[in-house]
Amino acid sequence: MVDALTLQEITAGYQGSVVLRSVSLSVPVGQNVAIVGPNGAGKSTLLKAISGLVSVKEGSIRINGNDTTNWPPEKIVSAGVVHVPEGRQVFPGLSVEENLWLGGYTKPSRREDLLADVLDLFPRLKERLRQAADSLSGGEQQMLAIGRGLMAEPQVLMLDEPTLGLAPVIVDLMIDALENLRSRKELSLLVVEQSVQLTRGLCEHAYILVDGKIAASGATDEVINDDMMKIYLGTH
Amino acid sequence: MQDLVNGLAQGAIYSLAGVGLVLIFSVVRVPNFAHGEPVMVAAMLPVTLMALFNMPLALALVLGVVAAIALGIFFSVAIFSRLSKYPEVSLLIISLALVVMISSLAVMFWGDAARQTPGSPSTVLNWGGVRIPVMWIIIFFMALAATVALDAFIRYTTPGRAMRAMALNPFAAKLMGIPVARYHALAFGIGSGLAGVAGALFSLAFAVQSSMGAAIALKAFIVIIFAGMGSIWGAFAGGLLLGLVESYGASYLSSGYRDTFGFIFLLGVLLIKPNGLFARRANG
Repeated sequence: MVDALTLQEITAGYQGSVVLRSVSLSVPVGQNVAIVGPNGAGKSTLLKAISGLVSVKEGSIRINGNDTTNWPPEKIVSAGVVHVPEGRQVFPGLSVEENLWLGGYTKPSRREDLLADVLDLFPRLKERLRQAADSLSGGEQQMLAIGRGLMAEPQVLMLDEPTLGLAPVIVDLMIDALENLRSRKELSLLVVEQSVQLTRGLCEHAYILVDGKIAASGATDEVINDDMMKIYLGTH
Repeated sequence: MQDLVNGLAQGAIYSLAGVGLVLIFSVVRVPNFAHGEPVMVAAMLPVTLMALFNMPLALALVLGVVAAIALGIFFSVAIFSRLSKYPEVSLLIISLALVVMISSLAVMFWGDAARQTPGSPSTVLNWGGVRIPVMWIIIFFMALAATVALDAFIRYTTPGRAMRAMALNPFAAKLMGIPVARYHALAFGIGSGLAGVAGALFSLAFAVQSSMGAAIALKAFIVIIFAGMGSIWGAFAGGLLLGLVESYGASYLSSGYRDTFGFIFLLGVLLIKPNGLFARRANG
């Protein structure tokens, strides 16, 4: 079976500086993959390279076997890979409902079904539909950001630090929601996350990214154990 | 009373230009000082078309506006969308370069003589000693109608909402799958089209010339700074206010300084309300 997403030795970065060096990675259909690594390792850049926000200099990115290297972001979304960025990035001043509506930009005919599904997953958003997105709490904004991503009916949903800065009780809610997503056969998650608890519970595979390179990869339990973390992340 | 009418007629033109500029500035963050050039093109072209091809007035006016839209799309596709990673100051300098180039070309082509598009309704109403040309009434209501239409477009249509999303968070808009390059061109096209309508109406009621663009663009900027950048109805009201300031200033102080009153008033506004007269809150 063709993987939902494959990166083959990609090198990418910003003008004048290379951030990712020869990174290879694959996300099998319906399975979840974690990317862990220290700050500044290039985790967010990796997601941006996949979603077309950062240009890829070498190597190739394939979605369902189709070469999507350096496609513009809107075509990546249509191809089935959606990026929920770090810091939530909701549209301030617009209501929760309008934010979700915009998330469904590429799926106008499926909006109603998708909206019902998202509100099912995050019942809190249902109570806040008419409220301005920037008036929500941090946790609710994160739910909105994920819900907005799901409105595009992705095959691969990329989450950048979904629990960063959230209260523990909200983190638990988030884990429940992501667990729920996990059971969906047709959806894969690609998660950048600091919380070991979350990655272990959620992802079958993990990659450790250090200084722009893949330092280790494999089954999550094998890769993310204390020894490995000490070696690669320098957390003594 | 006559000053009020004069001010509203002139101001409605500024409103239209300002509303177009607000759209461009908020959606794509280009400080487009070349915004006066589509105004000028749509003001100058109809007379030429009528003279060369014996074209009827209405068709010539429409083609003038179409040329303004085309110019706006050209600005977007050929120039500004390719430079979107550069800071606003660089874009500003480029827009100034466009002003110089386009107005020089226009002066080569048309000369710099003032002219007016003939054939507008010449009826002048007289209400208790106040002269109101019918054309001015048409100008006012065209400006109002265009602003209502733009507001509805932004609120209720898919492209309008997509452009609002771009204005609020261009990074997130890309991640929603919104084709930002297409909407960049659309914002420029509509904004310049409104500028074109302003130019066409202007040429029917007042004298225009091929070097007028820079002055109109500056006034459109005054209008949107009044309005606090980013509000369509603020820009509409700001345009009328600028028209009134100029008209009362010219009649009570000195008509020689007509163009300076707007700037003096702008300084006053910025001193008292730095976010603009109609700003609700910081622009997102």
